[in-house]
Amino acid sequence: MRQTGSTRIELAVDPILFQSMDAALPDELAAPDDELFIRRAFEQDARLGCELLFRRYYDTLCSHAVRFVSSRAIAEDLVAEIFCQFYAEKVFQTITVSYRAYLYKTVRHRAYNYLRQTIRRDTGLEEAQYQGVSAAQQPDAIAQYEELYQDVERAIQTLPIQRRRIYLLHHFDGKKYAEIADELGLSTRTVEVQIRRASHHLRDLLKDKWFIGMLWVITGYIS
Amino acid sequence: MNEHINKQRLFDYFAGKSTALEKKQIDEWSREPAHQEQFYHWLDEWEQAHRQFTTNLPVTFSRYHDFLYAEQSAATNLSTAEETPFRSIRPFGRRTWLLWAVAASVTLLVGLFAFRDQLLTRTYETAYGETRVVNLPDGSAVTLNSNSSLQIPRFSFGKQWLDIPWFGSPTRQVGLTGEALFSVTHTTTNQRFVVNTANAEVVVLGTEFTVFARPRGTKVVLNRGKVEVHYQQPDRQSRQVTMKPGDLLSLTPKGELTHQQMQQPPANPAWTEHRFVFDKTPLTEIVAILAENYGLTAEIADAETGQMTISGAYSAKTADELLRIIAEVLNIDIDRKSDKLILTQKLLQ
Repeated sequence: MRQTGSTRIELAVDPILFQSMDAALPDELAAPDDELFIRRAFEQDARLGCELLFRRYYDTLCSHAVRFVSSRAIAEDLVAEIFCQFYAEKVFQTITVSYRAYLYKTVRHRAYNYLRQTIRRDTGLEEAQYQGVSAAQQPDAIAQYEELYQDVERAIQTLPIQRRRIYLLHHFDGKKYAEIADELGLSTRTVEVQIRRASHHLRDLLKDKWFIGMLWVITGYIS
Repeated sequence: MNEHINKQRLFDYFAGKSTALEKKQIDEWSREPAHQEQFYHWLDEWEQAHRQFTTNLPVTFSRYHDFLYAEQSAATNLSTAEETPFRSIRPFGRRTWLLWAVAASVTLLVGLFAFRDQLLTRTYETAYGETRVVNLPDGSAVTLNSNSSLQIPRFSFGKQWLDIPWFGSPTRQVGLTGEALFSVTHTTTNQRFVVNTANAEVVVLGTEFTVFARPRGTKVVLNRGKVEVHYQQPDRQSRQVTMKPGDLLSLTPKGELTHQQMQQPPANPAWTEHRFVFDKTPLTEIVAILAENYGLTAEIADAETGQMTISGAYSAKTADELLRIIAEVLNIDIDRKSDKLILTQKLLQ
């Protein structure tokens, strides 16, 4: 852990105020220790630290996750799970980077794995998801994740407008086929077909570039 | 070059507005552990400014709070939390990919087997009243009479180096139903040419001959050269006959053979020029010819009429022309009732 300051006054500082002070600093200097306050809280009580962390990052992490998984329910589940583990497995004691770096990094990994699993599951190899994800199968640079969520975004953008609307209602908002059919005055069957086509389209666009590693799984499975 | 990396650059990058070159620079820059903190710091700032949606923070926070302060049930909570990301939505239908692949291959194999004849042989067919010349890869020519079909192996015709069932044979094999004139070229390797019909095999070296293979029997007329005919007798013994030019060989469906010498072997069968040559041909045979060449069903009113014969060479391109000629020559009435023709003798006035 980093060397901590000697004063207790910071505990009384409002996180929001702290944030704005931080923003006023030059960017290069701002990075090092704007989490000092939360770290102090962890020293006092891990629960308190977790709560502060949750309040501070839950929203933005969800926003980041949804760029990959395009479903708000899944994004929220993903982030909530990370916070639960953060406390239950005492991750806060072992990390060597900032909380922020850890949380974002983990969200991106999990979102990537989720995408991969759904695409793989669609390929029908249920066994595949029980195989561990090795580090080698992850994007090798942090900057590659941006490219991935931008590809997801672009893939959704290329859907025909009506199909995209139906897809987002179903995936992003988590609405049932029947609800969407009611809302748009379509038949449930149409909604179903549109969603299936959209899913296939997205899968086809993403599969080759990002999840080609699963070919190994398929060939290994046959032979 | 890393000095160029600033907040604006990264914001553009997060928004997907960077060029490939800029991406590469940022990628290199972000590999350094010291820069990673900076990277996530800006990423967080950017997400704050560009939220995709707003969560119901009070509700989720109180749930998290409950989780934190319910130590004893923490384990169970966590385990359900672990499952949630993959439970709520199933974006793509589960398909058993492998099963489909197996099913498809089996279907393909069965299909290949069921259609092996269509795949391995090429069939030339003529419609009623149509004649057609087919040139074979070895230079031989086959003239098909109407309502006939010729089967030629698609891949293995005359390929001597292949001797695998369906794929090749050292002879040139063709199949015939109907009637055809063969002009067979002689190959330097003395390769045999075999015409397979329902009940006989005509084996040739190089010659010209006509094969007639229809339900009422098989006939072979040899114009030039020498052919062998292999056939099965009624007692199922296989026999062979060697023909000389001008020979006419007739074989009933049961395998009874008649071998006769024609006085004047024609250069070409009449039908190749849409001619019909009759020599005391009874009306009953004319009825058979009508059925074979034009698919017409004809009925003779009485046995006496059936005994009438016709002789001479007539030119007719269509069934109607032929019928008119027959009606005139024999002085009979031909009534057409839908698909059926009724032949009756004209009443004397």
